[in-house]
Amino acid sequence: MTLQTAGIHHITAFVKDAQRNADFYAGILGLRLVKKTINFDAPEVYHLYFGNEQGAPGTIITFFPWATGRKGRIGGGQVGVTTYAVPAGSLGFWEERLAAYQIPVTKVTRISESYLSFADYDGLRIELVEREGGPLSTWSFGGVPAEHAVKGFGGAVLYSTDPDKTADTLARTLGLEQIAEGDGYIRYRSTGDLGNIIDLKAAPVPQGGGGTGTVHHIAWRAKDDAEQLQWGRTVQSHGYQPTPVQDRQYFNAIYFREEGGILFEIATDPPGFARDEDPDKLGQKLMLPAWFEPNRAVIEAKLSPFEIREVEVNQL
Amino acid sequence: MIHVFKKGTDANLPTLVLFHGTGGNEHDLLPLAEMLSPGSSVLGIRGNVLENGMPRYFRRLAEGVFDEEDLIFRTHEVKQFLDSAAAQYGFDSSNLVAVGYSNGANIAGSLLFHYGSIFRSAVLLHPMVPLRGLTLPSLAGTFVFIGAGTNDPLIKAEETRELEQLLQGAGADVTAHWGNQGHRLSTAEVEAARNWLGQHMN
Repeated sequence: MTLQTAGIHHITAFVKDAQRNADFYAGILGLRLVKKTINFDAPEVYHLYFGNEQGAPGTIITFFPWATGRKGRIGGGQVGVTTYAVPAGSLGFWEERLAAYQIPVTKVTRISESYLSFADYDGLRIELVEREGGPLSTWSFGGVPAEHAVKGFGGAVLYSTDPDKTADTLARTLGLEQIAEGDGYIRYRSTGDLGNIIDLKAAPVPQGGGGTGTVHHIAWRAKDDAEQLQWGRTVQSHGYQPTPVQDRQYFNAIYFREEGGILFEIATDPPGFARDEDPDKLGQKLMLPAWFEPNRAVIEAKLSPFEIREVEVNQL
Repeated sequence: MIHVFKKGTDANLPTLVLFHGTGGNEHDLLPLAEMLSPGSSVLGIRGNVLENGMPRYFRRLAEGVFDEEDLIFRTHEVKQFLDSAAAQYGFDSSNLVAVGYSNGANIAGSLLFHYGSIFRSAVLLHPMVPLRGLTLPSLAGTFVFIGAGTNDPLIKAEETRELEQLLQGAGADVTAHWGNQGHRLSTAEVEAARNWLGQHMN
């Protein structure tokens, strides 16, 4: 039985400043901060998770705000564009909203769909597309009514240094189905209803450089720990050496770099963000894994505070 | 820095300076040193940074994304340690061979990038490009062995070739050995390094 991922679990990127990051993703895009924790490899750097109300898989974008980080270069071996799905009939609302915040937007068409294309404050490329699938968001914040709210990922555009090999990995290893081709992209679909449309740029893209304003990795969904073990074997049978399972507190993860240079993770749906916080209070408190808890005072002192706030149009 | 020094039996042989991979320690590469140059004095250095309890030589924020500020700081820290260790143990600091694996190869690479011919030779096993955009000092007369894997999941072949070109551009004599054992250190690689070192020791 061939394994098939339901689609994107989360996407992780580097940015400079926590407040600007929160203002963009919560204040302007209207996502919910579902977890405020630290980079387990560098405890003086936050790890922020934004998603829908529960932070369901397929809605979660995560950031390392790294004040001294060098700016990266978007290119091959990375997620080039992160696509968000909004309800049908909502692009007009978003076009006006982004204009009000003076965020330059271009309209693009790809494989018969229209996208609003723009960048966040760090240069990460984002686009919005109307899609029917997936549950509506129940989170309303900062003047985004639930009827127009971002539902979660529509998908992503992948930039590969070796698209043939990436195509092979998407189809044969992850079990995505190729459904269209055009405008220089190959389109794949996964079994889920969010984070399920992946466009691979068909031409090779010269290698990018990691740093702020670039995506570090894209994670794909595994149902549970048992399925993740199967994924590990599948990945290995395709010639990759996945890392051992790593405890990320809100999911378990394995990683491998596919041959087009993109770092892939396979993350479990459970346990999710309510494992250490009340679902009504997600993201309000700095959460630390047990092994960092004894150093909480020192860690908190090194993190610059930020708030989730409504962003006034004239505040910018 | 936490370290181990073992005096060799032949003072004419170079002193090997050992840099372990992430999660290793100062003793890790002692058997490797014994294979590469029996009789040499050996200085094993433990990385000063902890990542989830695992020693490293410099900090990273995620795989492949180095904290460059910390890398530069730690590079100078290791250089100072080498100078003080040479005084303490009396080894010849003009006759050093660096042996590094993975994260250790990256700090050894960074030492070459910052200090030029600090090592007479360097055995870099599965290294990455430690820093980009730096003007390299002269590496004329320095011999570098790079052990790489065609299917190394952490390091793309392009990056290995980029490192090779950067070192050659600074005047180093570079030999690359390609295996297909992923990010692992293979027997074939160690043998190739030993033969190479034998040819470049004097």
